[in-house]
Amino acid sequence: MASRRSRGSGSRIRGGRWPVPWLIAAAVTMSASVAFAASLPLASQNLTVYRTCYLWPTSGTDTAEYDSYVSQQNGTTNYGTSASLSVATQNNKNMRTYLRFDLTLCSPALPTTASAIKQATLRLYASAVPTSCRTYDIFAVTASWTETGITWNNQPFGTAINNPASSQRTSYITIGTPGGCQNTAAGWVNGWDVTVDVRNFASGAGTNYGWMIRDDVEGNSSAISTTFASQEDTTSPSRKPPLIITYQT
Amino acid sequence: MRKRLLIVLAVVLATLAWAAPGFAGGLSPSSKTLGANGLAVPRCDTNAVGVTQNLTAANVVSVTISNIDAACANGTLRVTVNNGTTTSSGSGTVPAGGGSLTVTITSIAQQHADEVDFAISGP
Repeated sequence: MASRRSRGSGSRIRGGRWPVPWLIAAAVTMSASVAFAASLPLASQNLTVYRTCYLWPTSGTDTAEYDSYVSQQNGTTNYGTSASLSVATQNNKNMRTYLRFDLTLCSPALPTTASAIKQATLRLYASAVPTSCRTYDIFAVTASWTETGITWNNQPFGTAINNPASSQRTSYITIGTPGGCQNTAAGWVNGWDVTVDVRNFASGAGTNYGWMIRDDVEGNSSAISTTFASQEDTTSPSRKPPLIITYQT
Repeated sequence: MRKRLLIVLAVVLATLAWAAPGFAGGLSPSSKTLGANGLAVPRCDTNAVGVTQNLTAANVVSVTISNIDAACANGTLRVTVNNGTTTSSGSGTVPAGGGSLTVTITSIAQQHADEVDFAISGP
């Protein structure tokens, strides 16, 4: 009986106790550890993570960004190396600004899933604001252009004023000293929301030819304009145009 | 033979006991779920925020996060700027009501494609 109990219980090994207590302890420990892991209080703790690609040229020759403006008054003149960008409305003297950023410089690469890109904002630094509140529309450009080649006469959207229609804009800002305008003083404008366009560029649904900014109503009887710092601005490196893309990981 | 089986069983159990918390500790911050229960990690801000790098000369010295949802109030915001060569981090507490918070970091050279990561833990 004693022999059967000894063999049956397996309680001895080489003159010592079988590791039954050890087995129990190990099992209890494992069970407790798994329970702890499963009960981590993540459900009660917020964790909000965002990643941002901050495209911001560091010099006038930086390939992260290209910009220029075009002037109806000087239809064949290129302003690609100008230290400023202009948007203006005036009969036969309208001005538009073109910008393009190299999204492939983002590291890690932008997600191709559109919904993962939460916000994309293009900002400009205004050296002064007009005395009347103006609406500046931004449009995704649909054909290629170069910084040192673009002019009023060869711009992708053609020479007709108020084209494309305001209804085709991606977004807009208002700028001017009157109260109620979004941007009433010189400095950084709140920025154009270009999230939809960047989603299209990143996903491949659209080609990145950049953006064009124009006054919502071109051809005004008197001159109303705003000047922004360009990539070539040397006043301060912090005034060059940035594109800020925030997305979730 | 039975002895060996028991010993092997004990070793396996002990290994599992050691590994279980290891798995939990190795969860990626990007995980949305945990384990078989599929617990969602909640976020206090789900739309969009504004990000501004603040420069002194050609160096990023702080980062301003704006448009933070009120639900994030009192959460800890950690910012890391990676300029492709080096990184710099800082943290602060989201003010009551959310809004905007500027986090100072150790000065880092601004590059044309900086990666700015930030996480709000809590509240």
